[in-house]
Amino acid sequence: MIADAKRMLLNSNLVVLIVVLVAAGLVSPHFWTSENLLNVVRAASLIGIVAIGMNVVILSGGIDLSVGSIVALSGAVAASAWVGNASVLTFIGLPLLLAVLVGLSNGWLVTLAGLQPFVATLVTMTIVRGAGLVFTKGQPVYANYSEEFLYLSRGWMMGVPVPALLFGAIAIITWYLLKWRVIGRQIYAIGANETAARLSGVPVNRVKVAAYIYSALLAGVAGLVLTSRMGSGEPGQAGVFWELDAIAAVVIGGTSLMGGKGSVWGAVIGALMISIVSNLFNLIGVEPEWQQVAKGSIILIAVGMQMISDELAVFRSTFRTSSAVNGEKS
Amino acid sequence: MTVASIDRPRERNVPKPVFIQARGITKSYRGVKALRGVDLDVHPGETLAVVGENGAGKSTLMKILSGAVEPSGGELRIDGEPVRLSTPQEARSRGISTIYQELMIAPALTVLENVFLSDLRRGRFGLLDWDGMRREAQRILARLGFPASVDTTAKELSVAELQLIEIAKSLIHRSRLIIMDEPTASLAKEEVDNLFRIVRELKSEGIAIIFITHHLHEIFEICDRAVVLRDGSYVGQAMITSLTEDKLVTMMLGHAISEVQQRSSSAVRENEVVLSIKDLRRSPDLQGINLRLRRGEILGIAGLMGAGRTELVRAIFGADRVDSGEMQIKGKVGMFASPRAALDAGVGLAPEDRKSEGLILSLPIGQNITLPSLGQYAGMLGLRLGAERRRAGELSRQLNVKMASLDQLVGNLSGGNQQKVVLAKLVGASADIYLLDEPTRGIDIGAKESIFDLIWQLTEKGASVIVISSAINELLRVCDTIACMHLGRIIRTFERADFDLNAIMLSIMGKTAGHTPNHNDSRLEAVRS
Repeated sequence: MIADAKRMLLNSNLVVLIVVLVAAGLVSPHFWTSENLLNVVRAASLIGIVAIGMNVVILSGGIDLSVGSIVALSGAVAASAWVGNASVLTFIGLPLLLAVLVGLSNGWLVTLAGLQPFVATLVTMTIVRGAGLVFTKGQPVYANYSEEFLYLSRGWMMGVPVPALLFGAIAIITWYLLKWRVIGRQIYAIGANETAARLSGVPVNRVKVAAYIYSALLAGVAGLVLTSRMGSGEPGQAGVFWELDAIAAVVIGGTSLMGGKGSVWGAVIGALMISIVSNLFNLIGVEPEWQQVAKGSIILIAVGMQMISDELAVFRSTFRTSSAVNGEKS
Repeated sequence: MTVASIDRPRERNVPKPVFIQARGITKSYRGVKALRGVDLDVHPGETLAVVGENGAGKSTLMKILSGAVEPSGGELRIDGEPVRLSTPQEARSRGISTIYQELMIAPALTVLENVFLSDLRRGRFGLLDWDGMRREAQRILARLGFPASVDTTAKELSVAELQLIEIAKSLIHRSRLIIMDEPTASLAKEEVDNLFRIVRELKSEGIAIIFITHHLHEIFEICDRAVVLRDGSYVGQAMITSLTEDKLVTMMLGHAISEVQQRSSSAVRENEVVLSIKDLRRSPDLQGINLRLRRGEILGIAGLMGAGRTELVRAIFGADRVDSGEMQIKGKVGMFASPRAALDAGVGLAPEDRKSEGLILSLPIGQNITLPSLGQYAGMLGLRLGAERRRAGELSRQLNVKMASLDQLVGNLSGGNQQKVVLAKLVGASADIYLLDEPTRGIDIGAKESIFDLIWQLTEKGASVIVISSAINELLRVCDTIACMHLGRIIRTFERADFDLNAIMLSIMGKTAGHTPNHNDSRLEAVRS
């Protein structure tokens, strides 16, 4: 744990996050109010949940473009089930089941059919978005959700917004899976060197399929929270470009797009950072158009910081190794 | 060792002016010496064979001559003038062209475009002079006996025809030396004859050729002189007319049979068979393999590149599917469906390329060691990281991995220590049949010795080992049995009592000494029932 903490402190993303937090406080006095901070976390939580799943797929050496469409499909199906007075099990279970099936298809397309992850999930992204529209005949589904379900997006628990709690819980579960389960280690191994992983007995295909299912499932969960917040299922509008926002969060968080390197906290920090900056721009009255430009620039800065810190890490590790070996010889 | 007929080049009475003079060339890769002070002279109009086992330093020396790598030390002179060749372009402008085994041809371009790819000619107004280039290409290709039109797309041509394009490229550059790296490896008999005709013609025009081949008879057919390298050192040189095949092989290996150290006595002959394979086929690499491995036995597999050695162990390990064949391991019949299944049955593979297939360089040593055996540390609440770390520590000490800590990235270790980590993975996965593909490649002498010791220790504990090595003298030291592979078949098997260096060398080149190879005969021999 101490080693973990030390590594996090050395981690450039965390440093950047702290710098951004301090700077934000200086720019706007309203930023550091607890109400505003909780708003920031709540705004980050939806993209954050999707980004955590994306992070797992990217760690395994893949990418998942279908998450935004899954968010839309999951919300649309839930809203329709609500309108149709389906049982709670169907209303929650069906969207998640569909999400899992999409994840399974992604996994199969990548492993059994051997498609490039980018292409495979581009295919499902398009089909799933279309399927959502077909299912609802292209119209938004307005659902008069009960208080209980609205609680999922609007409620508070222990002084914290419910979506933020969900975001935190999912982050901790994912951290546990990546760090403490066999499959987590195998995901890193596959992302870093698939051939070596296979020859070391890692069931590569099974692990990859699991990663895509996990990502799709989390997108399905995000879809439920989103439809709760909007009070409707929006097959065409919901989750548009979320896959790119999720990838941006992952990249800002320092996970290598080549796979094998990064942690769940990176995705969390990345999602928070995007949310902080848009919040700050809202506070000081920057037009939304400029926010896009700023988001792009933040990605560039974050990646630049990582490149510098990677160089430093390589330098440090080489230095340490050579001095250790020399010490051994003498 | 002394070979009486060998004299150093600087003492030779040189009749013609020397084109290239290399003296004391050294090259180290990350502390491993690939070349240790090699001398080489190239005269205009001579065909020079550079021979040696895989790993003797031939390719490194050729890369230095062609400007692909820079030497760590030594001197290179061209026409008596000291030069540095730091890029292939520089070497080419000095008249040195190289034709690699992997031909540098753009398949989508035409013959004409390929010939002038790196040397496009310009005419008036800076426009490309296609007419001039076409005339020149046609003239040169006609001389080489190139049958097709210069407008043919390269992908429609055979390997032999593509090779002619490469030669045409060197002629366009007015090369004075053409280095040919295994040019006959994928040619049919008549294509080889045409190549030799061209080589003789180039020679008569004063162009020097360095010819690298694993087929000894070709050296005797086409070359004037042979320079022999072994373990990165210059061994000697001799005119072909004063050589025999046996003599050349002895120079390459540097061992008379009496010098071979005996492996400590072992009575593996009576032990039970743990692995047997019948008529294993995988097109085109494995053409009906039969072999048996006994408990405690070290079986060496000798063969040239492309003989199917790596494909054989990968097939046993379940890494590649096979077309047909039977395998029996410790009483169970059938091929493994995956490497996981092989590991679960106690079969471990140390792959040929440890950096890209054996290890995950960006992960720490500890996590690499336990990757194949992670399931052992899975508890109810998750991985028992403490137990995992303790075991990784034990294994790294047992295999004597020299490291700063288990958290060090495995990519920062030396080649020898990396190989020990690969072995630690297999020991940790409780393997008792080890498939080691070139375990000593690219590691220094000291580390090689400790790898040999580990192999012996493993067999003393009852493990069985199949070891592939291109260095036959290593196999002679380590193994109980040596199987010689050639073109996907085991054509002869030697017991320790009848180890015969020259016979093994000839077998892997497809010749069984004394009689012509008959695959049915040798297969019976290989099974040695």
